[in-house]
Amino acid sequence: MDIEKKLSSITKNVYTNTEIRIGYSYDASGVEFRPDFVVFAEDTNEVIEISKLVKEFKIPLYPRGAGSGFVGGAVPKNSGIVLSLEKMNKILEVDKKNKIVISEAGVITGILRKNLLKENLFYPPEPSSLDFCTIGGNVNTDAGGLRTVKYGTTRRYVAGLEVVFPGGIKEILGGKFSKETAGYSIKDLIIGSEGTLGIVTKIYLKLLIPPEKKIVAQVYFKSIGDSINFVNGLLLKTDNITACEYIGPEIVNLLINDKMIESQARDSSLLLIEVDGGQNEVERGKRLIEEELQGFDVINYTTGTEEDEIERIWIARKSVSPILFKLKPTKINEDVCLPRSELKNYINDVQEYAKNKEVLLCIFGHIADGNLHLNIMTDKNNLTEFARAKELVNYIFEKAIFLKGTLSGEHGIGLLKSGFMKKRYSDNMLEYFKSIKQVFDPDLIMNPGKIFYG
Amino acid sequence: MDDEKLLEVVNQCVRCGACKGGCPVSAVLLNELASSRGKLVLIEKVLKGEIPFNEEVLKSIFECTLCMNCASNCPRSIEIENAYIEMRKRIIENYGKDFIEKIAYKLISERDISKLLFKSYQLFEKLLSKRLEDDRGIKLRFPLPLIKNRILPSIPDYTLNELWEKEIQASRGFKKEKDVGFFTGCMVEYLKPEFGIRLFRILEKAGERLGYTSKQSCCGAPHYLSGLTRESDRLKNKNIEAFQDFSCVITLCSTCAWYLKKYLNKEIYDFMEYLKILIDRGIEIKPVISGRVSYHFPCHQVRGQNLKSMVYYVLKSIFKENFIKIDNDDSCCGGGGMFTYTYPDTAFSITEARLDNYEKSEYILTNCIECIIVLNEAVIKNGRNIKIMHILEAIE
Repeated sequence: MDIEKKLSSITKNVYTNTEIRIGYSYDASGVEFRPDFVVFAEDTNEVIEISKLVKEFKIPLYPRGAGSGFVGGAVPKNSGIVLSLEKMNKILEVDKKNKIVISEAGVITGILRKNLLKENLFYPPEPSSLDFCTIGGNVNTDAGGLRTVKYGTTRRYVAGLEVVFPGGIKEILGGKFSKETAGYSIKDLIIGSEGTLGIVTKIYLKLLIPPEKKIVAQVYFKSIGDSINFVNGLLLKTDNITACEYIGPEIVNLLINDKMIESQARDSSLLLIEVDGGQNEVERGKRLIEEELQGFDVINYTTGTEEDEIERIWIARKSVSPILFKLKPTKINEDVCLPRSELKNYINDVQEYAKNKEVLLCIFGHIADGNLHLNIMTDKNNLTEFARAKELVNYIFEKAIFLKGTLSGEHGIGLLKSGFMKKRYSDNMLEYFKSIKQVFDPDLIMNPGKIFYG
Repeated sequence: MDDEKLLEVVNQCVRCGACKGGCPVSAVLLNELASSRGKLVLIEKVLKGEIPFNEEVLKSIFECTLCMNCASNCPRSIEIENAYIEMRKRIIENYGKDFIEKIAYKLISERDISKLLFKSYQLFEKLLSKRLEDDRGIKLRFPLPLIKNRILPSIPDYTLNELWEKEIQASRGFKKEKDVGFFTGCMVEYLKPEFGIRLFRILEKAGERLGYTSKQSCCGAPHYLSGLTRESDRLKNKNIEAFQDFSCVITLCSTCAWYLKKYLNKEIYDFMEYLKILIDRGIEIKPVISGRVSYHFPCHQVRGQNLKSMVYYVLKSIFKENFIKIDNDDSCCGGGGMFTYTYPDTAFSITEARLDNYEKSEYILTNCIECIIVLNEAVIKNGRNIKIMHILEAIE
């Protein structure tokens, strides 16, 4: 029996040549496994037929969006078929009466947002890979981004999903309504499941109307502790904070060296705080920020309200990723999420550990969510340094869990973090996870090897 | 670039995928190998000897407009286009490439040959092609290699060289070092000679003289970008000689300006840079069109020369509130030299998508005749109601 022939009878987009298989062997994590086949589905029916086929022949299937994940969630660990949803890129319906958009899974999130803005509709989640990641990938990782403080992650906007479960079973979970108390919320189980339960083919998203105005404040604090205390205080005054980004002193110094920011405040901690809404809300936000700042001896405070001023302020944040590569050629990019009260302890502790190990650790992140990005800058060709960097990775997660935090707030678990799940969860919980997976995927063919082994 | 250096460039890729955002070819082909991430991985595997060099790799290297969008999004600022140009050079030198394509490049290399072609075409024009109404372009009566189903600009009655002699006799007798050298580029020389005369008048108004030399050649950029490096070097030398008496040079094509800046050791002005100087001198530049005007950035103007904010300044100064800034006005039109001939379907899809952003505009202005040709073709084929013009045509 020839799988290729059977696949080719379902869709014209079946590839077995080495070059394409190489193209679909990696994602942004740096791990590489070559699939046997790369298949592009053009509609749900093709997905259903492929799903039936892989179930019949028990072939591993790896659904894939843009392949922009940092944890190896999309790589074909056990060979098999990579199913790319890139060609399912149609925005199917903008339903203004229900303020819902129905999109195929392969639509690029940034393009979806731009198209909706033309209709004066707003889809808030804004992962930093916005311009190239897909909405299907966002659902499967419950993507967040800069503006989750106010707007939450992808999950908050998913009203419904069309999912193809193994064996070609298509179900619509949720729908165009905004609440549901009928039965278990399987929809919420699928969100963030990293393609291990089924293939998300269509997404119903709840929409908002775009905010009228914005203000961005840029504050340089003398210490990490001050910046965190400020955030905790501010959040007791207002819930209307759109974004609150922390940039650690080690990165601020780099930005100063490269003249990416005007300030000369070396060793300071930088906060970028955005407030949006109507004129009154924005003015109130600015007032509250300034009120809270009175309790702190800050080095510098500026605000921007015009488009180009706002853009200029955010440039500091946008430059972080490129600038880190000036330190070292290899970036290990991890994220953890902690109670805000533990952030100061955590940052000081992991930095201390990194220093002892002589590894460069650069920290920034969505501080109001307690979500930190820890970027270890190293060189994979320097074996001893790279080994020390790996020890730091272990420590980063162990410490996060010790302080009652978790393994990830954004990137997910995928392949690279799956070994840490035992630290995060009890054996009982891991058994529950596995049992849930087996309800939908008894043959363990959906994106195998991810999240937890099995 | 030797193997080691090339591998060093390629190995900088961390596979984040940022290059895919806004990549015009990726947006059409929806396939990893269309993205720079995919292409760089393939180059790496070829260099390491893990995969052989074959058609699929070749296609991946050439099916790219070299718009440099990927490099501008790359967090590591990898010189991606240089890696492709190096690969193209190796392909041309070691494997040979499409014979017809090589001939096409030869035709623009030598002005004598180009002129001969131009003249013979004029002679047999009616036999070969038909003009579209309003003289909006020509369509070949039968498909030629590389030109299938294309709408191309009509061929004028004179070359710029001929027109110059006819209309600008007065320019003679002036010392060249006092003239602003006019680098015509192949497109103005053969397809839009009237632009040269128009430019002369604009400079005249500003109290300057535009100087023409028939010794100039193609700037060499098309050859360089296609991997014909040696041919490009030969053309460079011809131009260095042709312009030795001029102190500065102006051109109406951003690709020419970008490339000349790399090798002609003089002040080189992209036309937009020259307009900025005139505006700052207080010389009034008036629009000759009324209606909503938007701009399309040639890749070599926005990413090649980094002139974005300056161009906005010029457009706002001239067109005031009639100028509408468009989202994505800096993405590639799908032109890219031979790209429209070698990958016509991909190119045309890119161009069509390009026009979608301009729903509210009546005019699209730009500073590259290649961009004008492809955008205009898509306007005609899609029956859209928008005019594509060179900025020079829209002002006086």
